[in-house]
Amino acid sequence: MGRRNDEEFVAFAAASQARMRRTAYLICGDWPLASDIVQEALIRVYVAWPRLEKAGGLGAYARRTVVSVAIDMGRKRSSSEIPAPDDDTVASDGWDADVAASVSDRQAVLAALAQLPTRQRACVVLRYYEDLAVSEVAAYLGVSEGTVKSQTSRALDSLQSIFRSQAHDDLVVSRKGDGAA
Amino acid sequence: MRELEGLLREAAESRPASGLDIGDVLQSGRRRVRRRRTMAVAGAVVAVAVIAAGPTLLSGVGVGLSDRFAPAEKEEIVGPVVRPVDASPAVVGEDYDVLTSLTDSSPDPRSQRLFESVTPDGLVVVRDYAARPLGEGQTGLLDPRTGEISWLPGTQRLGGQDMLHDVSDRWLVWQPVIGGPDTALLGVYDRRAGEPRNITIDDKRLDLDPMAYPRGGALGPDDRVYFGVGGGTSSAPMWSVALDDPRDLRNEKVDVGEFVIDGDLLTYTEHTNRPVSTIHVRNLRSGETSSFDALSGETCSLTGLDREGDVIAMRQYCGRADGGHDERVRLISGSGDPILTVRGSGVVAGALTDGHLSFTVGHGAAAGTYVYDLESEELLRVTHRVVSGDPVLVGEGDVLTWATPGYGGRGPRLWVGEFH
Repeated sequence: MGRRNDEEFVAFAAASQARMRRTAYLICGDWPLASDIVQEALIRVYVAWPRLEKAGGLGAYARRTVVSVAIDMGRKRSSSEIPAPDDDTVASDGWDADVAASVSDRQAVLAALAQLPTRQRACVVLRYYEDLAVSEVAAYLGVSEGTVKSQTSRALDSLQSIFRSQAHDDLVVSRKGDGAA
Repeated sequence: MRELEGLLREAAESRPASGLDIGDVLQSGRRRVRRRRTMAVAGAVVAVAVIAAGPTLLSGVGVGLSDRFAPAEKEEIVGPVVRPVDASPAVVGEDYDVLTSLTDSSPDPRSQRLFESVTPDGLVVVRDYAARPLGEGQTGLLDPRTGEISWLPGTQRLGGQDMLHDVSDRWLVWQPVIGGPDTALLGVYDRRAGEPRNITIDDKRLDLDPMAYPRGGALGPDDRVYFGVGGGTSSAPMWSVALDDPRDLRNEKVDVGEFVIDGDLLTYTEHTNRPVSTIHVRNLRSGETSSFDALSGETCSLTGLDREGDVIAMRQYCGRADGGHDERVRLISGSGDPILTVRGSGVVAGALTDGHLSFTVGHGAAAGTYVYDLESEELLRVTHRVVSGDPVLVGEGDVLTWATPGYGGRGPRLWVGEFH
């Protein structure tokens, strides 16, 4: 790969890494691990670069690779290693109840996500954060559309149940068609 | 009410950018490109040199990860390891449901009933010797949800020792275990037509020597059966034949040791029954090929290969350890990343499905049948007894089978369960 292509890769990586890291974080629940995932995913993008330049779809390939690496790493972590949500507590004299509630809901949904199996978590993130269609999620994960729907439905049921058990409001999705509450 | 989409966005955007060093990514990417080019030329020698260099090199040789994957012992196992003693007891009704079970009630010691496979549409292939003279039998399809068996007409078997190799929605394929130039054929059942066939292969074209015979038989995406031709060697040339036209016999121009076909992908090694670390993958439709290092070292002999989706299972025998045998099932991803190694004396791999791995332990305090859930990463012990002679465990999706010994002269009981 010549210097010119390296420069193009660097530009792509710089523009994409933040988004990739956020997706990785939602799947794995840990910021340092998300950085590792993105590093590995970008290395794979680099290796595949000449093929991707011809075929197009750099962004989709990078996102797909993030998901693949995140799922692989998710399998390897002990089931007891459920990462704690980041501590975003704002402790100051000017405590704002709305901010506190918002942070609390964020922590609750992350804690609920962490209790899902890796593949279910990936389905939720790809459907409701990446906003992908069922067919796209099925292609990313290498499973049938039926599996995506059933995994997503089970995940949403679990998320709803866990979210409610922490005395929070109901959790709803704006997309329809997955049996969501 | 809180909207999930909004909460996910807030959670993901609550932290600043990572400051990932793109320069590090470039260096690692260049190393990996160089390494792959070197491997393509030098083959397994390079992989062995990498393993010998020790775990500190792992992050520099393309795994891309640090001490998260430090080998469990010495440098032989890369990735997480689980042992049968780590299992929790499986609870019927919670972890799985029994769909059906069968037993062979005949006192005839020659009679036998086996589960041989599960079709993609969820029917269990049953092989039954109970009513016939030894050497023959019949094959049927069991619907585990009704318990009914549909016996397939005319499924006469050759010598009673042949093995069912593969099934699909349309075909069942088996081959004689022992054969030669005069019995180079496939036994096939066409479910669509409802009839069996013996396909004779023109052995002159195969260039068989007196000791060679077809071995293995995997169904490809194009209604072809792929098989090796060898005489007990560790590697055999691969051929394929069209099930609809036996004259369409093709030399695949590759030598294989262990091989498996899943979807469009032929996954294979160049040798069997010896240490193997390089896995090759060929897309049978496009012809595209790739190879990777499975990081399985140089002490474990490969004895079997399986694949389901993006998970590859390598069966290994690694010599003696801790007063027993070091037997393993190593799971890796389709790109070679380690997933898990099951390790223990008497470990025999069973079924690899989309979601589960089953295996047995044949002796000792850990004897029994186990199921590992690939999603939840939970290992369950289903039974504390096994049928002697390494019973074959089969499965598809969440449906898995196992066997327990019979009592009072009865044959084994065969179980079909659905795991949650």
